Amino acid sequence: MSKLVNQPVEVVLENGFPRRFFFQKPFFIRHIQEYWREAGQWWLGEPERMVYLVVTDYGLNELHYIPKNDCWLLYRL
Amino acid sequence: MLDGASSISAYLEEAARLEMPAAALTDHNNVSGAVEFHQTAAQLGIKPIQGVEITTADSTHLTLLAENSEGYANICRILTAGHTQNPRGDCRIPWETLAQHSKGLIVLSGCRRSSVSQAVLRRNLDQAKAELQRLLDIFGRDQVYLEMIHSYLPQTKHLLAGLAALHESTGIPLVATNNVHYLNKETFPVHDLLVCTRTQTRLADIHPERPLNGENYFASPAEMARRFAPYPQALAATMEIAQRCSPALELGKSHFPRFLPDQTPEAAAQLLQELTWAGARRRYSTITPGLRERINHELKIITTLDVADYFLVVWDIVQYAQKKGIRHAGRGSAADSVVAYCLGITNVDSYARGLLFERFLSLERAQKPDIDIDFDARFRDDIADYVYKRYGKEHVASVCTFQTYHARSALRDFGRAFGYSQAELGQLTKNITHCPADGIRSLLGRLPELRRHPLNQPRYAKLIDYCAAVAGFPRHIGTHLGGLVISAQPLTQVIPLQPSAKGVLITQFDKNTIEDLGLIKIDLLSLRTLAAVSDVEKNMRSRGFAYDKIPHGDPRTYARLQKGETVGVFQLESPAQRALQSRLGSEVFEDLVASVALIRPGPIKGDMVEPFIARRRGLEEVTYIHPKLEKILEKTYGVVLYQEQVIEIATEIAGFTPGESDRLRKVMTHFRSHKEMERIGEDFIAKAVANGVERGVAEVIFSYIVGYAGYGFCEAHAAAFADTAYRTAYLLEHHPAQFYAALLNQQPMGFYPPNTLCVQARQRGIEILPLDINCSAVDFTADGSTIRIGLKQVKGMEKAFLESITAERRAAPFSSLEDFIYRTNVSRDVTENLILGGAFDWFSPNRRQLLWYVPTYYQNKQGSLFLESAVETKVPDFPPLERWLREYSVLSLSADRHIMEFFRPKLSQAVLTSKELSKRKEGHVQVAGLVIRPHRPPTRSGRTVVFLTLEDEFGLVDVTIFENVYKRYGEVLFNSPLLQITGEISERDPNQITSVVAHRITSLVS
Repeated sequence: MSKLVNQPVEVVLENGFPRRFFFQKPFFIRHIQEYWREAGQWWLGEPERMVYLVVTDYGLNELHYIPKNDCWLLYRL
Repeated sequence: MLDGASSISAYLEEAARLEMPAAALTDHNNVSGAVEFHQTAAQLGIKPIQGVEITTADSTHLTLLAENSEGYANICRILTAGHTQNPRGDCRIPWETLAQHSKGLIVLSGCRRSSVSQAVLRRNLDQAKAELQRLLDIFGRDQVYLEMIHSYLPQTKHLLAGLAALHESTGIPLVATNNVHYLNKETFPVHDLLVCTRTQTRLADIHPERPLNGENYFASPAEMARRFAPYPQALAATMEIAQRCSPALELGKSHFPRFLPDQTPEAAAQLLQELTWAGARRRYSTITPGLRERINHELKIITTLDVADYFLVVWDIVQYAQKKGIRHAGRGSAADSVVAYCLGITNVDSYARGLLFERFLSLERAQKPDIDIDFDARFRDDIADYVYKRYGKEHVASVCTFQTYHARSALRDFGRAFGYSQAELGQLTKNITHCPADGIRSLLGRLPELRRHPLNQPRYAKLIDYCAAVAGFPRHIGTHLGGLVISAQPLTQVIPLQPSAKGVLITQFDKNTIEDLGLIKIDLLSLRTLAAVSDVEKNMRSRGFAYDKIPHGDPRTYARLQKGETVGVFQLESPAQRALQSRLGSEVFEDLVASVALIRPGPIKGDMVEPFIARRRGLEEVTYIHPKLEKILEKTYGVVLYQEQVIEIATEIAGFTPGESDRLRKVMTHFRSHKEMERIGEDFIAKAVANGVERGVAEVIFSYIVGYAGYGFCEAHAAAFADTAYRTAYLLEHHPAQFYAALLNQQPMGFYPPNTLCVQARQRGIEILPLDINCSAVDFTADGSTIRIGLKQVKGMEKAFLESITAERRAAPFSSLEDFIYRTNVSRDVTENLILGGAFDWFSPNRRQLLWYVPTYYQNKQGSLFLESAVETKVPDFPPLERWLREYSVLSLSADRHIMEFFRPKLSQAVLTSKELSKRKEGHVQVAGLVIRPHRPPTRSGRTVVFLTLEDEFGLVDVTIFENVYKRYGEVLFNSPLLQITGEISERDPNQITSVVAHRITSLVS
């Protein structure tokens, strides 16, 4: 059962892709299962985001990167 | 359509900048952009690959690329099958059709919605292989590629890996493509809005066709290399396909059918000669050497350009119309041709008028001829049917038009996508006149009536930006009013066809591009004026009247024209034309030809109207800056008025060949930049000086032409229109009741609404008889000096209702409202409209009371168990003004009273009626009336001037509102139906019909 988090997290990159992040504890990314881009609700001013489905030791997690704000969010745990 | 947010030229210019050697256009289920793509790519040195993305019978997508012209022809056939074998707007190509027309096509397995990709995404590789095998079976192993698209969508990684696995197991090559819908990422919102419009959804709605992200932009080769780094062979395959494909469009090749299919082209030329000379003997009493030379000159050009068949095809159509008694009249530059006149295609004697054939057809220009013919509007479709039967349904189609985005349509579509209510959209588009979608801001800043318009609010700023981005973009495909193409080979080999809303098949190319494909358009237009005059002729035939025998130079007709009383006259009824007629004092046919050409933006902006009037009336000396101009400009008193004159001036003064001169005329007519005009001017002046003309004189002559550029009129066209104008003026003078009734039957047409025609008729002593359920015919009917309102005028009236009413009436007249409801199939709504229109006044003048009875009568008619008796309560009728307004709302006119009769008693005695005003020649006045057609035509000064007509119970008052007054009162002017205007009588010309220059404007209604 995944949990909606939607909170900023610190992410460490490798070759431009997320490698690990810290949310209450460190998460090491084993591999990126899928990634895509979403325009979001642009008409409401929502910025574009990149979505990464990553597999960590704790299961499948969803990270979002907002290029406009240069910030990472842990969206789903 | 509604799936791309950038132009073809924008994509190709970017491709050229990125040094791409080839590009493919694969619009969805259409190839409408093929010609523009081919031509623009050729200009930029890019190889154009014609293609299409199709929807198959099972709703999956597939990409087809034409390897050669055979492949392109097969795309045309495939698309036609998909469009014609399915409901309109739901193109689906049967797989059997693909199998039948597979030659010359390279197939890419398609986007995510393709059958192969869908199977891969479902993780069903066996199914994916089966789908791939189907493509291989249809198109052959060498023709199929597995298409990889990387648009950063969910599961892209899996999809690409699946396609690569398929490649590994089958050996079918991979190819990387980019699904481009807009040039750059910033344009993504515009694409999203267009998709919302196409799918009729709002931005907040979810729809499978809505893009998830903005990655469908034109990616550079470097970006593509990044996206497909793991699949370099897929990138390399793009070049392989580009090398295999050759440009598939064969432009310029003639597809027009031979009129005598089993004989040589010379036989057609021979037949044309024979028919022309036979026609010449009919048209002219003697064939002079000059005339003989002219006809031979035209025939030689026609034969050299190999367009004799075109003339014969048009001649044949006209012959058919004549046999069927369908009134017609050739218009446009075809009237410059003596051959067309001899063949009966036009009625303008271009030889007698000294018109230039080269305006129509020239060897240098070598352009395809374009003949426009107006037909009685009621029978235009019969003429088209004849053409379909004569040449075969596979060989004939209507030309399409692309309705492009303008301000209002963009605001409506995008506003709807943003989720605005209908009421809000109504407010947003209110008073937004016809202007380009990128002109909204300028309009808001310019028009005083928009000062407090909601679009000025900051919250709509983005909406206005998005509207601007789609200015000129195609919104939907429509049917050209009259254009038909005829082809020697089946049309589907050259163009895809698809059904129009009306059901006829239309081309996927518009009039501008079909000619490049080697097809020639024939314009068979419908003209309601011809229907009206045919009606008059039919009604008056028993009294010996024949339209074609209307006498020339009828003094009473010219007297009417001179008074400017021309409401209803073809082309001469607008306020500007009425004013011109009264000032010009038209006495001869040439005055009418000039009139038609004078009230045009070109002559108005070029300041030619006033000198023309002054010189025509002998108030100003006619001078020519160069003796060579005298012969050319004599008939227009030294003023450049017609396009033919521009050609002749260039020929005489600068020594241009007729073809070069016409090119000059064309460039000037479509001129877009001052720089281009300067370059033409330098060329003209240099050649004129070399031709012995002084530089200063040459410069002045060129300035005449410049003043005229842009909107000039062809003399032949003006003469063709003037002929109909004169004849309709004759009908108005001599047979007003019949003519007004005919005009009312053909609405909507002309400049004025039906109520104005009724007011005018009453001024001529004609009684407008009210609607009567027993006496009114279907149409308006004229009898001596009366016109009876027809039943079809009632709002909501349908053919079936009219048939029911007339059939029952033949059995016995209706004896009551109840009797009417019982015996006819007329709907309740229309019965109520008939009551409000006065159709049952004969039974009871209390319309409101009759309305009260209606529900009971309909309930009883439907077989209610208990027959109810009508309400016995006495209901008072509507108050007089409300009764009038309700009548007007269902009839768009009133039989007996004008709305100003209700307002007149409340006005000061100082407010003059139109009748009183006509006796005044100067001074300060006040007038009031119903606003008719306020408009802002172009002016010489470039300043905004509003012209409108006020209609009262006695006639019309023309009003001019200059910019300063307009700025002050613009809001009330365009928002109130009834106005009171204070101003001065225009003293520009004592001959002119009285008009008022407004100083102050107030609304008569709160």
